[in-house]
Amino acid sequence: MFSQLIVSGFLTGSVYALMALGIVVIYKASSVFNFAHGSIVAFTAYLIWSFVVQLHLNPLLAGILCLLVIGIISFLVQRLILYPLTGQPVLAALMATLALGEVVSGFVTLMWPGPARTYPDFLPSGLIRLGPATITLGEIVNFVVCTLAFGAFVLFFQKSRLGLTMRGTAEDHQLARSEGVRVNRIFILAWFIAILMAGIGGFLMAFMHGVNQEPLISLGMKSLAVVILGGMESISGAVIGGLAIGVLEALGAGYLDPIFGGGVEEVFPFVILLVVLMIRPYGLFGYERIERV
Amino acid sequence: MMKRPCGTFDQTYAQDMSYIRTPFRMGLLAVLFLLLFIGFPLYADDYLLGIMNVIGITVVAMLGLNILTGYCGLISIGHVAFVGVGAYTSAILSNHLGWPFWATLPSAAVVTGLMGLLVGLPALRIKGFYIAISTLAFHYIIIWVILHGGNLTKGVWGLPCDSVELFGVSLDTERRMYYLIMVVAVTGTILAFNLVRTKYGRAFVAIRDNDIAAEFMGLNIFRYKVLAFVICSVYAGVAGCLYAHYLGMLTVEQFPLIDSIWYMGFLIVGGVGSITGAVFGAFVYRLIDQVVIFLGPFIGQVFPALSGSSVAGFTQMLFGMVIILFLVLEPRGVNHRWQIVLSSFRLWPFPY
Amino acid sequence: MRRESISKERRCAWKVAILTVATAFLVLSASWAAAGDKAVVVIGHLPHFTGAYAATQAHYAPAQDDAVEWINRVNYIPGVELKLIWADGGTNPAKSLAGFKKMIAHKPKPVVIIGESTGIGTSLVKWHAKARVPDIEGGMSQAMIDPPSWTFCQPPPYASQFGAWVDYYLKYIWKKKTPPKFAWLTWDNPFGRSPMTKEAEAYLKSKGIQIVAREFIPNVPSNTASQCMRLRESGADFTFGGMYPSALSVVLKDMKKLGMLGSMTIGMSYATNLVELVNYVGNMADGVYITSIHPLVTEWEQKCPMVKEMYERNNRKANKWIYANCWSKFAIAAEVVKRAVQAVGPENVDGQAAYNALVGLRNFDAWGISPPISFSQTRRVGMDSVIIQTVENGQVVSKGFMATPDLLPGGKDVPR
Repeated sequence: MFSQLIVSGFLTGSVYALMALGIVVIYKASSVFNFAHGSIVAFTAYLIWSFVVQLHLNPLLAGILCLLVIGIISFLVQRLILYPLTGQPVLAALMATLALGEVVSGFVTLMWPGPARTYPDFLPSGLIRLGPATITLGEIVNFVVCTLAFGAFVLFFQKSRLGLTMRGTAEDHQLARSEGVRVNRIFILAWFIAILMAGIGGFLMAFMHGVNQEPLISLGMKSLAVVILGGMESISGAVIGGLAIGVLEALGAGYLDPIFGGGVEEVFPFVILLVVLMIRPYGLFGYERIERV
Repeated sequence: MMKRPCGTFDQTYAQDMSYIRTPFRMGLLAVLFLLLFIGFPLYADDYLLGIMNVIGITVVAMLGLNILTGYCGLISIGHVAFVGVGAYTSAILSNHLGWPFWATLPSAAVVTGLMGLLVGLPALRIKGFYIAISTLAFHYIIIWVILHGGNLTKGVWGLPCDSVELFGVSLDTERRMYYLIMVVAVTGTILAFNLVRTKYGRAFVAIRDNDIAAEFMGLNIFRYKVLAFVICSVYAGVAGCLYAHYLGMLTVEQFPLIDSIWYMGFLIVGGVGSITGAVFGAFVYRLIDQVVIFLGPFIGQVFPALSGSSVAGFTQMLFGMVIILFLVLEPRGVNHRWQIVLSSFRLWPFPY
Repeated sequence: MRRESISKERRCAWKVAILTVATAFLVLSASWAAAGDKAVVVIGHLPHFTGAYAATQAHYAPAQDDAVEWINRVNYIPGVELKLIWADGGTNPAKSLAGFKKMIAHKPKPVVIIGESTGIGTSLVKWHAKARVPDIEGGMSQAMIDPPSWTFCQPPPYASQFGAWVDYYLKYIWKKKTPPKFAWLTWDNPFGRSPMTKEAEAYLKSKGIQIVAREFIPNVPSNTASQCMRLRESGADFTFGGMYPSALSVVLKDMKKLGMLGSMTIGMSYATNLVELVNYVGNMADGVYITSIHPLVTEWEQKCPMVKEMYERNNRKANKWIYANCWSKFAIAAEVVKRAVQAVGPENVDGQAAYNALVGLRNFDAWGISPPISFSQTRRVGMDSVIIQTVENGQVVSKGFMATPDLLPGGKDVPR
């Protein structure tokens, strides 16, 4: 039972990690904690459903269209909401993302009312026995997609020029601006990447839950806990945080549920989170900023 | 902060300390109280009184959050869970033990305050946005306890709570409840106004602005942070007690996480870090709710082609957009705009 | 320079905002609809078009309009024009209370309000009593029915549904001589836990059945391997609980992964919409039973042609199952208003008249869209039978009515 719990928790955690990356990117670039992430995860899952299932577009075309839509949204969000809030209290920006989440989720209710949709089942459905644990091929595909996305993400940040610019901007906006970086565009790019990550995560999660707004929003909001566990500015922290939350949930449900009479799964990761924060107040991998007065 | 018209100077210490400094202000305040306690209930029907009652309870809860977040700079996204603790405490005491309201109110405040003490403890090490997560963790734990509380909280069944009885009068109508809620809300507001002018209030502000500097100045920041949590929770407990007696029936679903986040959000919309801002925030929160509920069926009438659920989606979008508009137009909160309006009145006809 | 232009932008935006609000109010006051010549009786509806219940209740939107349209068209209540007012509860008690108050403040006051959620209905019990407007409630909880007040629940209690499921299982599915083993498999929330009462477990014991496991699934499960594995180890033969299809589908997928699908018979209370479940997981849903309170779509399409007719006439695209579900509550409301009008005349109909009519309702067939409904002075539970439905080869089929034992605290079927 232990190995099964670890393996399935790990595989679920990989999707959490992917979605959490989206929050980290925005936070690193612009110090805005994106509360709209859950709604955006749901929205992108619906969007992909519309293109692929409803309009029967070919997957490549659908992908390009999705990227286009994501680009437009990132531009609008940055230009209409966050740009006017530049230099204003950070809390205002935080609240704006919360309101954005409400707008997005209202939009989903408006555009796609009614019951959950489902994707056609094109994931392979075979089973693999891994010692005492069983996993489905679909979960393997999930994991591979997450790993690929994460790899591309890291490559982009480490190797490409744009990635370097983004990292530089995250370090210091003023300095980046004086080097001729258009900070606003970098923010748009950060939103673009974040929504893309949310989209991939939402797509994978939607295979499990159907394209259904409420579950997707709450799963997307789980990245909140993941990010804080890992440390808000740390990419590797988000990954390890995601995997840890996935495994902790599985273990909590596995060993503590019988003792406490159920429902530990949702509480347990937060208790662990609290303990971790007491030991490492900046999350597992967050930067310990040296504060000066 | 205290902007006064030209020619008003303090000549004694008492004047300097007094909150109401000009006769004009005194007059305004008197008019406000008259309106609140006599004028409004005289003309308002149950519907308007009901809106005001909910606003009043929200004001009390919001004031507590404002002291924690606005003054001490600690973010809480578990505020509704504290309201829930207060509500359940008073409901359990009045339901199982038959305690009267004048006993449940302080007990709810005390129990919730102790809970706040517990939640504040991680502030010893954690700071900044990370402190929010400890409140989030406590939200989940509190909800879990309520749900699994067996016969005590009647977890899944709903816990009834009788309406308030004071001096032999049962406050079971909107109108009677209105006076109680308004008295509590006004008292809470006055206490909050005073609190932030004391040593504690100044310590909170110092910690918010820079906690390391505050520590250098000799403040025991841990103590003050925990104190801020306790005060915040006491307000939440009082609000919860009122809520329980007002609603008459508690279920765990009445304290969802999203409401905590909205409390935080509307505090920002109202104007974080000022008492009037918190009051504005509560008003805006509940009034936007009303507008959305009012607009929903109305839009349905104007555009019959839209189905009810599309209309609901549309109103939800509207809700978000109104808040974004508020923030983009006035990121420092409604209170900031209010102060600008006030000062331009004061200085009229000069531009500044 | 830059700041100045921003502030100019702001000032302009303020003007636009004020203008918009002003126009909105003008339009609003201009288009106030006039009433017809018949006496108008108002009924209220409090559905949840946003929030967690939105996916299901979105289908109530066309249904509420169609039902009222049909009632008025066929003159179901002679001499009365039924007017519907609604407010979106948003699956949130605070918002629902605001919506409720808004409806109560409507002139003329609604005579009944139809509620659509267990949690919200429970929150509003005292408010309905205070406003003296009965609530015809689609949800069901202990606090709503005991003590009897102004809330009238349509479905049978969850514990009683559970009793019906146990009876059905013993009668038709369990073939061996030894008693089967039972496990709870349910949502870890008020709705999911509500069948798990003392009375329900005593009923089980009186049949000689042992409870071998209690497994709880979180609201939004992502990985239920541990719960499923414990179920497998416990060797349970059948389960019961309450879950929405999206959550149950995750459990079924995990069961398939662990190779235990079909090793136990899964029973669910009425809110697990089998059509939606099949939509999610296809053949994996085979052998899941529910204690439904609504007939299959094919059945009501024959029995209640008007529902079908309205559905097609207005070109609705809603899920037919849920669409008819909403009609069943409007059937009760229409019947109640009709009886109240007969009793006191169309001008005097109010909440009290509707209450009296509700209390006098016996074996009302709800136009065939649900099992028969009865209430009385002390009884606040509408139905005393459920329809057992299941999935066979990806098709939802009905297994007929099953009487629900009375398993409320102090009920007559509770073993002593």
